[in-house]
Amino acid sequence: MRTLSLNTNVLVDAADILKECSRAFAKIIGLPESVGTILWTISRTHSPSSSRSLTTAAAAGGRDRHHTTAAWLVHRSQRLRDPFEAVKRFGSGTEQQSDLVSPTRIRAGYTLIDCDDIISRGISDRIVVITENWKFGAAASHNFSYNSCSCIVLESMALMSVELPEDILMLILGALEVPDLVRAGSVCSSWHGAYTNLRDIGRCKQQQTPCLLFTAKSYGAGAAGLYSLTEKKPYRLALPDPPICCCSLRVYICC
Amino acid sequence: MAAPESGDGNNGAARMVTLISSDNTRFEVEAAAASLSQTLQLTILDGGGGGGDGIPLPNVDSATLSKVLEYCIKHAPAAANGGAPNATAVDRAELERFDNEFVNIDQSVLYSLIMAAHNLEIEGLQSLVAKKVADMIKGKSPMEIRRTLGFPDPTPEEQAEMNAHMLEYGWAYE
Repeated sequence: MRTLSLNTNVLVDAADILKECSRAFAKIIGLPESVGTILWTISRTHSPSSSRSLTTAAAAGGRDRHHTTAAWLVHRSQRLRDPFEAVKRFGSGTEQQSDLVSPTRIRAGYTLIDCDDIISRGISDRIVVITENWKFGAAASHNFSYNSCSCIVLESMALMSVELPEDILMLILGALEVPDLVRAGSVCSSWHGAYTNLRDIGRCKQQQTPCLLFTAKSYGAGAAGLYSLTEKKPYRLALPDPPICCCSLRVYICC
Repeated sequence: MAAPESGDGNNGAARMVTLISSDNTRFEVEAAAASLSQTLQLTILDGGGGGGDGIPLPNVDSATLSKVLEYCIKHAPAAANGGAPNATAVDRAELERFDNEFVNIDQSVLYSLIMAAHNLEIEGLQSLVAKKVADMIKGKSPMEIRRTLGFPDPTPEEQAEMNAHMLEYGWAYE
């Protein structure tokens, strides 16, 4: 029996999306009449009635390491050039398992790995599909189709790539020291959003390890040094005009 | 003439409540432990979860719930004291040791924990897991963070955004 479990993190109308997903996936596997045979794992234990419940049910479900294995992959070519690469990277954690999976090319740009094949080989009895394009759901859940969904199957290792709710992201970023925080701000747009919010409301890590701010001749007048005590590493900060006087080494402590 | 509420559970044997995971496993725990969850606290105060009833948690599977409860049971006594006078240094060190070990887990479990702690609003657990993720990304470049957390490769648009940010905060990328 084909079982698909949808794992999504966007606010969507659950009933709609399940219906659309069933249809889309049935179409992809070439069995439009078999919609009824695609069971959503979530709906077995939980009847999602609202967007919130889908979000959370899906997020909490299917996390059992022994059951959750990447199995079924619809792949949009420009995202990940080699579907096996995806399976390797996100797949079952071991490269051998990806060798067991035989892909069936069904149309340009999409590769399907037949889930029956995987189930019959005993790799997994549960399939997790994570939509990579998180934005589709909120505005366009009714347009959800296999064309618009760039679905990628991930397994347990990669579940962090699911977009985390912003307040969780802010908690994570809020525990970082400043240089790390700045770098984390450019990881992706949702992280950047969390970073900007955090900065705006000033909820960064409360007890930052102090940094030493110093001027140095080698940096010239247009820059200062920032020495991070946590990383034991100097950073060169470009300063706005007017230039500062750097006749001698000066060190300030900034907290 | 409302009768005073009975069965507050503060006297005698500790009151137990039953929680039911999404896959229908029942967990019986002390109300004090389950009450670390802000979400459950009100229900429990209202007298829910006792007897044969149980509180269904459709968003948390049994593997995750048992992990969450492990945390709650360990932390309940300290929370009841309000971190107060009789918490000795030894107790605190023991909790810290427990916490460190507790988050030494697979990323997937970590992820389930984040979501569960978030849904159940268990403040201490949320910070603990957030701290763990923060530790995982410390000292890494954005690309390394993406790889560590299993993000797919950035799209050209994402790459452009990343580059713009890096340009603005060039100093942090030396």
